[in-house]
Amino acid sequence: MRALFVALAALIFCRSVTAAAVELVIVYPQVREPFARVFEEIVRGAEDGYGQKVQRVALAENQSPVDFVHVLDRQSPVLVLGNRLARQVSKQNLQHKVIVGAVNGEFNGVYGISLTPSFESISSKLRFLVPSVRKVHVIAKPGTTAGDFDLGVGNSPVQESEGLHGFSLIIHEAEDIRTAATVYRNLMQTLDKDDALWILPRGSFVNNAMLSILLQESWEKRFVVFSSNPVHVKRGALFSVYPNNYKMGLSLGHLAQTIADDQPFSEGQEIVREMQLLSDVFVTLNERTSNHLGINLTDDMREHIDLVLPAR
Amino acid sequence: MTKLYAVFVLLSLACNPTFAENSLNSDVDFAGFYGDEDYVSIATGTTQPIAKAPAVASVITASQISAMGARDIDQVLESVPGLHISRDVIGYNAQYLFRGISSDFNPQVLMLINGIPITNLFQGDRNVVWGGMPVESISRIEVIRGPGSALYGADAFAGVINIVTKTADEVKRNSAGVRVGSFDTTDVWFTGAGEKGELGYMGTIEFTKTDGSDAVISGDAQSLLDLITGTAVSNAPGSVNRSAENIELRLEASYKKLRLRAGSQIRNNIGDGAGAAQALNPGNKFSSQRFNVDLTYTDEDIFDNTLIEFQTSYFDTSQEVEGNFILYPAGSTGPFLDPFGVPFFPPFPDGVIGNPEIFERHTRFGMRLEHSGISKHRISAGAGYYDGEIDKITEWKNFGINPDTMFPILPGDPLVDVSDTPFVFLTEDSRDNKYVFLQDVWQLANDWELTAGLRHDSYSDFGLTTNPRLALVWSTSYKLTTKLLYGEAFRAPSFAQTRAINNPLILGNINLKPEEIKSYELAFDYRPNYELTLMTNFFYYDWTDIIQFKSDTNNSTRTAQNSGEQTGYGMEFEATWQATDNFTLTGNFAMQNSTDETQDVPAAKSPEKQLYLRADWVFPKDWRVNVRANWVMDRNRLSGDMRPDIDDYIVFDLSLRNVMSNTFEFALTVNNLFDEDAREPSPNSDPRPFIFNDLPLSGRALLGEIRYSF
Repeated sequence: MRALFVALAALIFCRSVTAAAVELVIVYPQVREPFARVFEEIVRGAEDGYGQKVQRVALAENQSPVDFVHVLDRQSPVLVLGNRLARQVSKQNLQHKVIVGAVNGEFNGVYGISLTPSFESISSKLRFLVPSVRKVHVIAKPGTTAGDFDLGVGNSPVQESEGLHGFSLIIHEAEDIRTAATVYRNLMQTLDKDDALWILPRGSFVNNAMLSILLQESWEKRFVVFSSNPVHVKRGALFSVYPNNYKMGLSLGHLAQTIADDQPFSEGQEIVREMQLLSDVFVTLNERTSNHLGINLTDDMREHIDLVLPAR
Repeated sequence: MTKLYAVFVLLSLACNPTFAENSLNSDVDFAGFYGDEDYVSIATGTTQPIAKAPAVASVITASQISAMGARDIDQVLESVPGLHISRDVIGYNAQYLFRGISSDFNPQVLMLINGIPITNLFQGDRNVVWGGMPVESISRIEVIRGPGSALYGADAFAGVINIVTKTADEVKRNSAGVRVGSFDTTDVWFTGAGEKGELGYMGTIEFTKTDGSDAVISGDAQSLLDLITGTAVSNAPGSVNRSAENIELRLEASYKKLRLRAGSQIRNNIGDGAGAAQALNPGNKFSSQRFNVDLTYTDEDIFDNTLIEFQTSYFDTSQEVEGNFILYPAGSTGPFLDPFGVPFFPPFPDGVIGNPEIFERHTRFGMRLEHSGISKHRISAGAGYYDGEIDKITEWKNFGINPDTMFPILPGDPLVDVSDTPFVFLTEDSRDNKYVFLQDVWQLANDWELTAGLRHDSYSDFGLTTNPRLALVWSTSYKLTTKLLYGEAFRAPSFAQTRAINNPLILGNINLKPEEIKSYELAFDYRPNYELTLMTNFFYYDWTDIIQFKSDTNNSTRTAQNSGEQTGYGMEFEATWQATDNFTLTGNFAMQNSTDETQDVPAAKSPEKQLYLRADWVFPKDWRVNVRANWVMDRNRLSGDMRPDIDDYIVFDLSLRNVMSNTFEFALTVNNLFDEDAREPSPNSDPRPFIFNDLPLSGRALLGEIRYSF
């Protein structure tokens, strides 16, 4: 009986020590509304996803996250949100378990979830909205492969790949905005209603002038334009996705939990640290464009669309 | 010219594209993933995407209201194309003039708070003791120009103004603020919100106090009486009486499918403007207590593809007098003159006093269904019941007939209570209304949408009315949308028009029919590029059965009759140009040409042309500047008014706002920057207009504001 008591006490003691050791520290910037709300939602999600003790640290613009992270126990996962803070922390090559979120760039040597939506998250919406589409075209930097879009087809340097959801992804290469304009012009001659054009959040070389030409052409030829930038939906693209902040936070919290459960890191040990593309997204749709394309939005379909931009 | 030059210089400054990145923004360069800032607000639940009705409509958001530095809705509403805010003599109450439609008390405009009318039975307006409405609780204001009775019922006639208050979701941070400035103005407010499980709650309370205006009226009705009767008691020249002490309370709680809203508008120390009898008396003060509560249940789960909503609401309102309401000042003989201008009575030592008070109650119940189970159709249907009652009228006065003695009340006599006697000014009465409506939004073809709606109303006093509307919307091209609109509307006769008695000059008529309007509109929305939005519309309307007070056969009284007709046509044009990331220019120009068909003369009071420009730009370090210019042109006099046409005016306003930190914000607003002598037309009278020199608006006013969020 006494042995059982001691064992229980030890268990409780150990748990409490462990719990104290794996507190998640969330570092995020103080910004103005409505952006502050974005961070608030991500943090709330991360708290729920992590499920253990969480410390919030909101830093003003003149405060460096590095000084703060330095003094933390290396066993504690640190979730750093926002580009500025993530950039500062990632430059330091810290041995801490750093996870970054709400960032739009590439960060090496850290865990994290990028704001760039995965192709899977966006292509599933395309299949659902316009099942007739057979080919998805995307213009991207030379060397871009289907693997870059997280298609689950590996990193094969193919120009055309059977992606998920039964349509082909065709990558058209462009060096810069000038060559992209030519590629777009040539491409538009060939597109019809079985085709869809995907505009990447960055790297698709689309400025306002080009977007206007693309959308005007898509209106006349009735091919689908979808985008990874919701503003393009306002301007006439059929649909886009944008981050589901709470769920993204939840995923970041789960990620932190997984990492915290790992064995403690030792000095100099190589760890695989990489960014994931975002899969927690909301869908936004332009009703004027969907009407024009003859998409009959049933209530069931509307339930899967988070934000319908009403017709003018 | 100097003013225009100043504006030009400001615009040139604005186009300087070298502004540095603003502080508090450097961590939000991810915004592209959320779209722009508007999207971020929508994505985070701060605002909702706004589906405009298939009509000529405008929406003004809380952020635009804030940028304008507005403290009252009227400052905001002036920015709506084709809408001009004129002033009534009594209380300087707002007259919302759409497309040339004007009349006494402005009952042709329906004002709603969260979709529920605040129309008073007495005069069909917002309240004689309106006192304005502060803006802190407002999420957005939706304005529809043209008729909307097929959806909203009575009085959605010349236009509809729907004020939507903030929800708990929109207020994630508490805030408090204070504003002080010219005319002894002090405003204090607090907004708070929270949630507990599925319960969300929000509250805003605002206290506002002002002396209102420095404008001076040079001569009034008593000035003319002084001239005729030889007295010298007029308070003119004297200040317009625009004082106000307002308490505005808005509460909201939502739990699952239920939403409860409550509000209160307490109005004290409300000045009477230029006087009910157009005679100044600086001591005249009104008050009004207004309370509203509504409960809404919305369910989308009972039937497939169907939304069901039940709503019940209650609105209690009053018009009260603080102290005595002096119609003509102490020493006046009053307007009781024989045909030769000789007074019937000696001077009234305390002035001519009439203290009318009115208490109203409005109860509503309605249900609405929206069904989208039929392919390419969205059908709405609803029914409802309304009961409105003037449940108490009191009147104390020192003129007229004493009901106890049946002899005239003489100067020097104490005030006599004529409440609940045949000698009171209006009878207590009620009105009920039952209605049904049906509307279908039909996707005719890929780019064609037809909205067809019909509403049938049955009123206990004036009977039946049915009002249709049709809206055909054609997505003509990628850049252009075309709308063709037809609508009919009705305006319920007010109790003052149907039940007024004992006014020595005018009598109500219980047999009045509602006024009617038919309106045709052709509207274009053209977006040549992403920086520029152009909208224009052309309209024609025919307004019939206009209620007017016509001379009776005895020639001494006038009785309300459905006798007038007015037609009008015109256009409204608006443009929004996002010149740079930091600079936006918005403008609108409206013109209308309306004719009083009964006399074949141009309709009076409304500007035939108006131009509104607003420039908004963001400077480094989170400074924001907003400049507005409102040019009001070509207002006709009433037929028989021999005065020259009233001068046009341009009023410039300027607001400067700085977000000092995430918690502090500072703003400075100058209204009527160049101290323009702006005037709104005063009524014509016999033998000449009492307030000859029209109704002066406020001169330059400076207001400073600090806001703290936590």
